[in-house]
Amino acid sequence: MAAPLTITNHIRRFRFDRGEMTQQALADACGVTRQTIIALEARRYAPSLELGFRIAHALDATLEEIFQWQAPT
Amino acid sequence: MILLSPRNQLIASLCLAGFGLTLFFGNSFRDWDMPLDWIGTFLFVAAVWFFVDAVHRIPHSEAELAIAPQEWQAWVGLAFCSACLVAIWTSLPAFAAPVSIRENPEAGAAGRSIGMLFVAWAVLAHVLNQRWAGTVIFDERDRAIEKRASTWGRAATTAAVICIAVLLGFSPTERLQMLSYPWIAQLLMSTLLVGMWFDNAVAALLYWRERRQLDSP
Repeated sequence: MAAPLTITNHIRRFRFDRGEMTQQALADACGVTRQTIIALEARRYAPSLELGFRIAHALDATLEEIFQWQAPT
Repeated sequence: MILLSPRNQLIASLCLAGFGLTLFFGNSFRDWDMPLDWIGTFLFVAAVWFFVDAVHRIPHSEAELAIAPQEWQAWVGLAFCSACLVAIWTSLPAFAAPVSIRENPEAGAAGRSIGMLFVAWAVLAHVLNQRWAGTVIFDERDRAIEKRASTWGRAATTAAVICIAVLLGFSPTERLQMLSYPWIAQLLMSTLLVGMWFDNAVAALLYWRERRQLDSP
């Protein structure tokens, strides 16, 4: 079992807030596959800084609004 | 064949491809006074043509979309690497004769069969990429998985090379004299394929494991 990621996100909420944007539409806007968006939303994958910025840009939000970092306890 | 529905066309072209490959590989037909290997190749190429057409016409299913394009490639690569390894290992006795492949018809036929498998793999990989034409098929997550899989592939190649070095280094001289150069060449080819097999197997496994974790609540 993989260790839980310390980076969490609100991609799913922001997608729905932005007119129910589909995973595929967000993936196309960010230049990644739909499976990567699925893995991100399930918090199974930590994106690179560049992809984080791309997602924030596509969702018209700031990086801090979308992603949060939790210090490991 | 164009008149068939895409799904039926896919099945028909797969059957045609199978028949073409059987003609190409089938040693039992070699006695017939016909260029069966060329007919087999033609049938296989024709089948691939209809297969590509059907692939373009079939809409993406939900199950298919759940699997990343690179995962498909990894599974296809694993299947073909396994087939190539089996073909090489089962045809090793044909390469044992101490003559070049050109002067050994049996080795030539085995070599053509293995070559055909590589061509079929390349064609199918291309067809799969065409299926996702216009969409992103490779991103940073795929790169991360590929990196981990490549580490395993390199380790497997290294281990296989060490095995061959030990095998050749510690074999009695009289036994080494029985090994032909084509036989050793096939052994080296299988070393490369072992590395590729591990590369594809680990990548497929990593994708599958991740997908399973995503499916579980």
